[in-house]
Amino acid sequence: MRRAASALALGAILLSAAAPSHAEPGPEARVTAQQSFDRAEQAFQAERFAEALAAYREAVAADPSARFVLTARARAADLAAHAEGDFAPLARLSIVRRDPTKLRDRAVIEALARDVAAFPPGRVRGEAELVIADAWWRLGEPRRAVGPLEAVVADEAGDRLTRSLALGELARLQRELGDLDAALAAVERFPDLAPAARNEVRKLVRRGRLRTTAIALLAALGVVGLTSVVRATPRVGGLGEIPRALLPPLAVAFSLYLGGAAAVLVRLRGDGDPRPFVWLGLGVLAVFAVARAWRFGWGVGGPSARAARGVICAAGVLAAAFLAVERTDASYLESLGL
Amino acid sequence: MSAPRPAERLLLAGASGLAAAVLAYAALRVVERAFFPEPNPALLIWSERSTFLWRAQESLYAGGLAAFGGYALAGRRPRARWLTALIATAVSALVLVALLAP
Amino acid sequence: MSPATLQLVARAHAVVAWLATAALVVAAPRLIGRRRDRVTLAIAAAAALGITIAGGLGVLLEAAYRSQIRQQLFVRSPALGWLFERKEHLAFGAILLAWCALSTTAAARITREPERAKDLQRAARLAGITAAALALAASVMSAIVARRAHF
Repeated sequence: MRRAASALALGAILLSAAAPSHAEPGPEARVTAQQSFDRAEQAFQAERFAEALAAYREAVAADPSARFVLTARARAADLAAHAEGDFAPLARLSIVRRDPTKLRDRAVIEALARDVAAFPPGRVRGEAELVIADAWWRLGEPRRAVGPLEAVVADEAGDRLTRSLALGELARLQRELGDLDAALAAVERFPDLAPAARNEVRKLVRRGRLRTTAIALLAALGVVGLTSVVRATPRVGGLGEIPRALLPPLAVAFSLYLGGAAAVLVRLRGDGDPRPFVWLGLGVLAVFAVARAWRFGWGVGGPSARAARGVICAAGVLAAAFLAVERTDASYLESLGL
Repeated sequence: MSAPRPAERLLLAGASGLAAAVLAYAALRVVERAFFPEPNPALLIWSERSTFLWRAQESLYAGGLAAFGGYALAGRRPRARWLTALIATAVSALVLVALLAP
Repeated sequence: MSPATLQLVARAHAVVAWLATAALVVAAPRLIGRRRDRVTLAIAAAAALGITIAGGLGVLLEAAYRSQIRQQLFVRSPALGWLFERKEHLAFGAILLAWCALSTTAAARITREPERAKDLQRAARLAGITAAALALAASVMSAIVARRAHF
């Protein structure tokens, strides 16, 4: 049984090797292929897409080894993927897309938007919405781009790559419009569609929340500081004594060193921004002054009070550090995942 | 306790800053190895910056910060046992780094 | 730097490093002996200065080491390469601890509090002895690498 199977397999191999190879196209076939390709190119330029698709396929069939076959195959595949509605939507889109003056004409864009609503499901509908969105953005009406982009993203029948691109653009647009919550909602609605855009938006939202918290904390410390200064003034001997009481030389020297030396180091290194460190030094000095005022104004207090004061002021230093970096050169936060 | 002289406080500040710089150097080396590993030195033909010199500069900066703390402590504490502890910690850290994470 | 200058600096670095190491080793017993005299201070100062000069010469050689020697060293023998890296860490520590020992010795001389003086002497002893040990280790490592790698 085994011998019979091996003999059959060997026979099949020998037969296929002996079979005549695919015949090389003759000169007439090559000429036909070239003519079909030329006709296809003309039809494509003239936006007669059905004719172009047929001609590309004829060219490939006539001479599969021609030098233009790769181009013809690619164009044919692309046209076939955009063939919904017998190419009518594609033709409609091309009229606008190929003419830069039409892309800057509001009436033309609005007319296209009305027609797109009637397009059958497929790639052309998504691409048309992207063109409309891009046109509104360039015309200085970015808010009108939101609708088309959302339509592309929500179109489950659309091309995944197009949807992913649209989601990235939508997130970017919402950020530029200052609506980070809307950007977050968009990327969270389709979490797997554009993971990079989702991570970026989440990071920005996180940063925004930290910024709000830091500002609130520093504002609260500022209020504590001011009230403490009022209470401390009679205790330290008058308003004239306040600077010396709140800013001892050691603290000032430390803050200057903290910010100044770091700024010098960064400058020496050559590729960093020294401003965050300068602001950090000033921020630390301010928090230190608040801590001193708090102590003078409300008393030293017991261990738990001192610990609480220490924790809050430490948080104030962190808040100052975060704002110093975030407001001047946020790229430093990237390495911390913020 | 009599108030320490300014020169004494400055010397203590300098000593604590130097010991802290050694500790910071060891800590920076550990952080580098853990989070910013360099390419295999056998394959690296050239690097623009010397990581050793930058590590030294950054640790001296950190030591400078600690020197302010040393100055403050020197004025408040009658004893200076903390300095011995700091030196011992710094030396231990450096030796460990040299052994385990050069 | 020309090759001739580099060689000169490298030799000076080695000589000064060994001299400074010797000075640190000589200073260490004086610190153990709890002396607070000027001679101890002078020896500690000379040792700290010496090892700093050696370190400065090493910094001058650093660029040439990084561009011309380091990769070859690791290719020839990763063990030798890592030994030299270790040497750099220990040498840096030795320099800083030598100055730390000097500072604490000087502070121990001028303090008015006997108890604090004891603490400072203890700190000076620790810093001085470890500086000497680290310098000695670094010098030996450097000599091993230089001999085996022929540079």
